[in-house]
Amino acid sequence: MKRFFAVFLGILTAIGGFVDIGDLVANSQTGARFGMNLAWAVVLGVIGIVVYAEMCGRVAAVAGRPVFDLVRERLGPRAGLANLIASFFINFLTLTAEVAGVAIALSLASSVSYLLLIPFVAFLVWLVIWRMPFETMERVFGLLGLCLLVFAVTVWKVGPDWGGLFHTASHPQVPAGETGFTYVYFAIALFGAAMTPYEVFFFSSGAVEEHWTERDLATNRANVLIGFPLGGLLSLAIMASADLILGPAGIDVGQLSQVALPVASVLGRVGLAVVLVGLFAATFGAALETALSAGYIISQYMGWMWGKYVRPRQASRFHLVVLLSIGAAMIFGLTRVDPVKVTEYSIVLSAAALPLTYFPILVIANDPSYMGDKTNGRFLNAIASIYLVILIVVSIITIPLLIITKGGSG
Amino acid sequence: MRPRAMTKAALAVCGACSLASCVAHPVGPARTYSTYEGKAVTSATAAQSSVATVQLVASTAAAGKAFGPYTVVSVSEQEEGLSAVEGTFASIQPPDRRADALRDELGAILTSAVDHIAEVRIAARRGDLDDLDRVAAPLRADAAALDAFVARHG
Amino acid sequence: MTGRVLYAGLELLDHQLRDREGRLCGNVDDLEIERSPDTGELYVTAFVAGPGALLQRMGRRRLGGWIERSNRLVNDPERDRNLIPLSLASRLGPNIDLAVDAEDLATSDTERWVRDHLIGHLPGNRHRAPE
Repeated sequence: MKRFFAVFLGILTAIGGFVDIGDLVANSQTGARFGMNLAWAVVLGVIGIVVYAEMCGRVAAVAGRPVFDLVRERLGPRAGLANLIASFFINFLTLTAEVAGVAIALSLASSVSYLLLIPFVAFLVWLVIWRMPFETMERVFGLLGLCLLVFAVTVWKVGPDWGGLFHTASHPQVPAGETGFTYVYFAIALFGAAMTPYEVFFFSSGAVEEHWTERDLATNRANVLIGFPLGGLLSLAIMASADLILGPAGIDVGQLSQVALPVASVLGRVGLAVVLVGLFAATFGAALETALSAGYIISQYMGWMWGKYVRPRQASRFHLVVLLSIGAAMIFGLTRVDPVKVTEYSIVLSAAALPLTYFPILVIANDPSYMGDKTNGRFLNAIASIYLVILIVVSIITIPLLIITKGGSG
Repeated sequence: MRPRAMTKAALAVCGACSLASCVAHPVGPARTYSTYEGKAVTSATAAQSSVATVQLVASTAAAGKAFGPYTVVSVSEQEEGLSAVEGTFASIQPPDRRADALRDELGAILTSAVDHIAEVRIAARRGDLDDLDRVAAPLRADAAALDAFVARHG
Repeated sequence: MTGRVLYAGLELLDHQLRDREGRLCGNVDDLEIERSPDTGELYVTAFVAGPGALLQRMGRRRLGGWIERSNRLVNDPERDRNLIPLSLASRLGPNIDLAVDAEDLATSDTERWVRDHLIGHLPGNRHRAPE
């Protein structure tokens, strides 16, 4: 019974922790502009992250090593360094976006300008990382993130034409007023929002932080196979709420406040309060994860001691990197850079950089010298190989599309 | 690609992207009328979204479905955004006389919209949420004008 | 001399070093190789790990060399700190286990500096992580 409860809690945490500012912005924007015509991109992304995260968790539990630890070892220091630079930069953009997102969520509840709140948020993020135990951190913000289920309640309350919604989702087409280019661009954005690389760095390092062993593999699989798809369903609820309320009004999403508007419009003040808590939890949790990921990937490339499972002074360089990353993200946010634009860039570039993180995992998950007899099965390898092709294609077309569509606005 | 070249490529892409995300989309002069018209329609479309957002926020707040801070921040964001759009559009050099007329027409609509949104923001800041529907009423005319503009030139 | 025959590039280079208590203490940045005067065979005599070592291996000899010399000036001008004799390795596997403490290696030099000058001054830096 206790075990069941632990698994259940893990699944809830996975659902609540799935959505971050990238998912919020991408799903809301596409819902308003494309209706449900891009729902398939979310499904594709969710299957990808499930495959990906299961492998990472298994590698961490069996080999006891997180992904980036093994990138230098398997790919060599030069390729590893290129990977590190690209991954770190994109992770940094995401961190900036999440910190700004927390500040915006707080400003929507307090009407203090979000810029004034950014330093406070940055300090809070650092403080939680410094003091709060790893598992507590995950649980608290993951469970609070479940407040975002209010989007599902919103959709249900509207009582839409479910048949129509499903039909559009299953028979996607480029809507009038949009081009094939913007359609594919936003598909990539949704895909990148679902398959964020930092999830992988964090997930696999976290497995080592929590001292997973082979006995934890079943729990890992439950979290990933049940939690993540439900998180994907939550993303689709965000998309549907934008489709039903913002689309018909002709509203284009450029601010986080607009993402919450359907909930307020349908459910009133209570709904709005709940969604703001959810927004705060999702972005704060993601800020913690991206800040830690900055520390993880650099420390793991260099071979330094890392992790929250030791005293801070025993992993000083790791904590210094985390602190400096948060500081730099704070400064970048204070330059008045548009948080939604930074979010858009971070998810699109994440999509383009996926082969960098995905390929090493695939190689290591198949390597018996690390995995013993727990290497990938044939079915998994088949799906994983298909995804590798998809990721490479996405990687090649992303930057040109970014330029052609002028960041989605063209 | 050799690893050293890969590292340099990674740095180059990172640098380019960071610049791209920091710098606002550059708006240059429009050389032909149709290019100018296209930029005008882009500005008008952005304005439509801002106006629609404020209308929805106002009616939601007036119905008691949103509280003060959310309303104030949402409307202020749209006001700032639309002011920026207005400013950007005004800074584009019109290529000919015909474009001048277009500039005056859209300029007037945008200014009117920004003013009306400002009124909503002021009322919201004062806490007059129940009254916001009435204060936001002039935006209907702005929305209609924008729709007509986009229909004619889009 | 006899020894194991390994594919040094694959099984030694860039692998994680661990000290005798299992603490992570750097990656193998480079290898010191000598040719036996009798048989002409190549032997790995030491691991190279520490400030500047990886840069030197990747071709940035001047920058890497400067970092290494600066570190030596601060810590121990007498010997080459980045060299870890092979005799100190207790186990060669996916991780390379050493029979010394992390503190004695050059890879801890920057860690020590950051700890003593920065992180160590923050309140709570000794805070024990709960099990």
